[in-house]
Formats: sequence, structure tokens, C-alpha cells
Amino acid sequence: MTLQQPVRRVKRGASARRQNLYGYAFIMPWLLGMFLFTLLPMLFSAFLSLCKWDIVTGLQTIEFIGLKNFTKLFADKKFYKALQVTFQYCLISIPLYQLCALGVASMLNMRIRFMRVFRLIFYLPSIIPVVASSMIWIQILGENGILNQGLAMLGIRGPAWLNNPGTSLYGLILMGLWGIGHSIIIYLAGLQGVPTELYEAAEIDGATPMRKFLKITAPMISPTIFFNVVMAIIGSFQYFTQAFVMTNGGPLNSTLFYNLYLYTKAYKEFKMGYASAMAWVMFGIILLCTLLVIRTSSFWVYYQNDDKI
Amino acid sequence: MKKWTVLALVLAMLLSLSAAAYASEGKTVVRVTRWGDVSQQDAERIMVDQFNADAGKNIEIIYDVVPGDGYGDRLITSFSSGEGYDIFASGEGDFYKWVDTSLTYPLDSLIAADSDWNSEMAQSIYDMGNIGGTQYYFVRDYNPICLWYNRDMFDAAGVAYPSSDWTWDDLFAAAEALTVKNDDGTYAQFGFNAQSWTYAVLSYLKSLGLDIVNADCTDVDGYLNSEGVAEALERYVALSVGDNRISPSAADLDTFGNATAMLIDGKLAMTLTGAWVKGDFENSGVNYGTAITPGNHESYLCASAYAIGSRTKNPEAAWEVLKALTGPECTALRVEYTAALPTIDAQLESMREGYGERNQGVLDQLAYAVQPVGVRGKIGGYAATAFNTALERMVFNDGSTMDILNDAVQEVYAAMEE
Repeated sequence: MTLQQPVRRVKRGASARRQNLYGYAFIMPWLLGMFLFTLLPMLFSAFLSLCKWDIVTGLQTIEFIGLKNFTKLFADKKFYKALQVTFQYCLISIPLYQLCALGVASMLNMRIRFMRVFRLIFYLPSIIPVVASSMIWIQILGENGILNQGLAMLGIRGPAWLNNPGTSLYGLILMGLWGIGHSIIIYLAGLQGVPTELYEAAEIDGATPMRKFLKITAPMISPTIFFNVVMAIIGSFQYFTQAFVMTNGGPLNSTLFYNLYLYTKAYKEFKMGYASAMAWVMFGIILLCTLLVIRTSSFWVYYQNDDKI
Repeated sequence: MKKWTVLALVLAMLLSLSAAAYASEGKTVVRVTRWGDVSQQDAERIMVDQFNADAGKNIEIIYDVVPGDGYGDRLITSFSSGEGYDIFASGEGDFYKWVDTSLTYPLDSLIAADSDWNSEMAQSIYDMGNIGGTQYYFVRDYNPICLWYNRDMFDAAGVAYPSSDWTWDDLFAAAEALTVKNDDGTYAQFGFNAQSWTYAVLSYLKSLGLDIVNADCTDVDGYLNSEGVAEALERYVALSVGDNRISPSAADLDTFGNATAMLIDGKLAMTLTGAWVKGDFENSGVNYGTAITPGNHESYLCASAYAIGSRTKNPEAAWEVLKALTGPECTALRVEYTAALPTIDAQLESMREGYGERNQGVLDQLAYAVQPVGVRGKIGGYAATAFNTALERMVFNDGSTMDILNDAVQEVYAAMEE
């Protein structure tokens, strides 16, 4: 037999209503912003994906064409090329950046002198504007750039990274390592949250550093890894600025990222309906990938006290 | 009480907004935009100030200069808002696009109605604004593509300067003599810049009597993929590929900066480009010269021009402003402040003597200037895009030349069908 607490009906008086009104008033700027600048454009773009519109001729020229944009899109060779480039970038860069960020964060978690300076040095590139760092990297990745000069010391003749269809994408991936500072900071925070008692207990049991990392560190920071991976998936699929500034999709479409192609369709060719259809396909892809990672998270993400998302 | 205060404020705002649409003295407002830098020595600004100060004119010009990077976005935003400017500037690359989207006002009726007005522009420059037989644009600034060279490099190599009777064979032979390698096999200097810039390559083809579209710009088959174009392109691309190249590759250009910097530094002897490099050359002190392009001398004319927006509510007022913006007075100011070439025929002739011996090639080139393919018709724009892709494929040896050019033709047809 279970005892049930009698439900007390709270009388919603004028004071409570006023409290609610104040609450709504406080969140109203955010709600308005969300509605006007995110939700409304999203809904408009969903509508546009079923229309033909060239943006410059005004709203009165929007023409409903049903699913034609999507059928054209799935028959467009460049669409598949853009998808291939973007997926290739994601598949290589996401694991690479996460491993590097975790590795650097582990080193920055050590207790040695000048550690704060080292942390600052590793984070600094992340605060440089993307366009500025892109201009620097154009020089670094040039045929006689710093990278190839370094390789030449090892007897390796490096390519003109960004001017070669076989290496341009790898050049951009390499450049991305420069900006892993944000992930490093998040990993560092995760690493510092691991209780030291666990390491002490493992040391008493004679665990090696690798075993400690695999059995203690990795499970304990798995929620952090999960967060970083999800953010990296979303960010990688939206890759745009560096390719726009450094290669503009070339050579031979080897860096034609999805968003770059979308931008070209929208603002160079004025095909807003087609570009909107592209945006929704990308939305679906990001959603699927993110859901896949969230679904699998129960197998590899460890939450203390069951504080699952 | 509060309600009345709010109402009064709203009314005041509405009144001030409507006042912005019409000048305080009841003048008709004409909104003008162009890209560029805000400067004290802005010919348009001076002309606008004089125009607005003229009590006899019932027109108020609102002049909006937008930095180059954001100009395209600003223009698109203004058009998509359903308004747009009364007069806007455009580069020749977009001439056809704005006409095709009905955003430009045809000037023929305004010209016909204004019996007092006669064009004082040089004919080839005036014709640049004619799209499909209708005048839509008046050119404000232009640059014919011609040959620019470093005289010191020619002198050092004992090679004669380019002349008007040069063929492309002469140019390539000179370029070979001017290309020098270091002892370690790297390049010390190149003879000619066989660049991938579409206008330069298409000018090269035009000067050989070749084109990628037919005469009335309605078809590409048999032109873009003709044997003549294929042969000429193969020869051109080979100039910048391999260990015996006489032109910098794209990677070389990245390494050395760009063609202008290379020519100034004595690392490049010749390049096809427009007169926008003149300022850099003069400021650097490089001993440069100019010549008309080899062959039949035809080359592309780059231009920026003003058009009246099709959504203007006052085309007659806009016409008055357009005339002032492109007339002799404003053109003279532009020449004085920006070293632009004058569009006015008489000014062009009087400029010839003072323009300097080494710049004569620019003026001589005007007689052979032709409209870029993208300005000539809808298919021209698609042809230029497909040509660009084809050229890139050729540079990276992505198939046989004829296959690549046939693909380009199909790409144009697919775009046209769409």
C-alpha cells in the first residue's frame, strides 16, 4: 500500500500572474530575437526550398515549383562533389582535431613551470580572426612557404598545397589544427574535473600511465569528448570561411565545401530556392549525424550519478 | 496621458521618415550609389555637392559610397527589399545580369526625349553600355587590356621592346629569351604571364581572331570547342606548365606575390592587364612600357558604369543626374583625382599628348577594344564560366583538350536549359 500525498491546489492569484508576466517580459527580447532572426528565416527558407526566387527582383516574383529544387539537386554533379569534399573533411578532421586537442590538453594539464604561458600560447591562434589567419596560411602553404621549407630540411619536396587538387583539402585540414584552442580549453576543464583519488588508487595498484588514461581519464572525460565531437560535427559540416578566402572551392572543385557551393548558388547565381533546398538537406545531414552520435553515446559516454542528457 | 505621449512620438517618427524621402525644399530625391573609398577628392562627391547647391535644379541627390567588399551585398539587399537605388554603379561583369533581371531602366526613351543632349563619349566606350541593342549603361571608368612590360628586363636581355607589328610568336620568342633560371634550377624571372584570368585568356583568343561564342552571341558549339580554340589554348596552357615554362604557374604567382609585384621586382617581363596597375608601377619607379596586344590587337574592355534602376519613381530626374555623373565636368574631375581614362572623346584626344610615351599602348588599345563575352548576351556569361572551368581542367591535365571543351559546351547548354 502506498501513501499518496494529497495534491494541494495552488490558488493562482494576481501576484502569481504578475510574476509570470514579469518572467515572460524578461525572456521576451530573447524570444523575439529567436522568432524574428532564427525561426522566421528558417520557416521562410523551408518555404523557399519549394520555390523559384532570384532574390533581387523582390518578393512578388517568388514562384512555387514544388519539389523541383530537390529533384534538380539530387541530379546535380556538383552537389555530390560538394558532399564528398565536406564528408571527406569531416571524416579526417574531426578525429584528428579531437585527438590532437585531447593530447595537447593532457600535456597542458601537467604540473610544470610556465604552464599558464603554454596554455596561453596554445589558445592564442583561436582568437585570431579566421580571415587574417587564412591569409597567413596562404603564405605558409605556398610552394616556397614555411611548411615546405621545413620539409625541404628533411629532404622532402613539398607540393604547392593549395594549388594542387590532390593536396588542397589536406592543406586546409592541416591549417585547422591551428584553431583547436577552444577544444583544448574544454578538454582541459574536463581533465581537471577528474578526481585525483582515482589516479592515486590506480598508482597503488601499479597501473601504467596508458592504463590510467584508458581506464580512468577516458571514461571520466567521455561527456566532454561527447560534447566536443557533437560541436565538431556541426562546425565541420558548416565549414566555409577558410575555403572561401583561401581557395574559393578550387582547384578543380577539390575544396568545394557544401556551404561554399550553397553560397555560390544563393549569392552569385541568385538561386535562393535551390540554395534553401541545399540548406535543408544539410540540416537533415547534420541532424542525422548528431542523432547518431547521441544514440551511440550510451555505449561510450560515462555519466557520474546518472546525470545523462 | 502616456498614450498620447507615445502616439505623438510615433507620429513624429513617421513624419521624420517621410521627410527623408523628400528634401526639405520639396525637391525630388535621387539616390545614387557606387563602390569605392570615401575621399575628399571624390569627383562624384564634388559634382553632387555642386548639383545640390544649384538652386535652379529641383533635384536632391543622396550619394552613397559603399566599400568595395560590401557593395555587391548592399546592392542585392537594396534590390531584394523591393526598392533599390535610382542610380547604381556596376562592373561590366554584371552588366548583363542586371539587365536580365529587369533591374536596369532602358535609356533609349530618355535619350530620345532629350533633344538637347548628345553623347560626347568615344563611340567604343558608349557602345559598351549597349546590351542587345538597347542602351542601359553609361560608362564612368574603363580599362582596355593591353601588354605591360618591364623595359629594364628587355634592355638587360638585349630584346627589342614589344611593337604594334608583333605576332604572338614574336611575344613567345621574346618571353623565352627573357626567362632566366638560377643555378639550382629554380626560376629567377619569367618572360610572360600566361595567367588563368578569363579576360586575359579570352583577349588572347580574340587577338588570334578566335571567340568562344558566335557573332551574335547565341551559340557556343563550334566556337568554344573549335579546333582553333583548342590549339591556341593548348599552346597557352603549356607556357606555364612543366620545367621549361616561360610563365609563372599559379603556385609561382602565390610565391612571388602577384604579377604586378613580380613585374615591379624585375621577375616578370610582360603581362596582359588593365591600366589599374599604372599607379602601382609609377609609384614603384619601375621602368615600364605598354603596347597593344599582338595579333589582330583585339582585347577586352573592362568598365564600370552607371545605370538607372528600373524601380526609380523619377526616371526623368535620374536621367538628369546620370548625365551629370557621366558628363564632361565630372569626367574631368575623375581624371584629375583618380587618373582614370576619360570617357569623353575630346578629353581623350587632348589627354594623348600628356599621357606619356610609355603609356601610349593603353590609348592605342582603345581602338581595338571589344565587349567582354559576358556583356554580349546571356549565353556569353555561361560560356565564360564554362570556359574558366575548362581552362582549369586543362591546366591540371584533367582529360583531353577536345573532351574538356566539349564538356564545357554541354555545361553551357545545361545552364541555358535551366
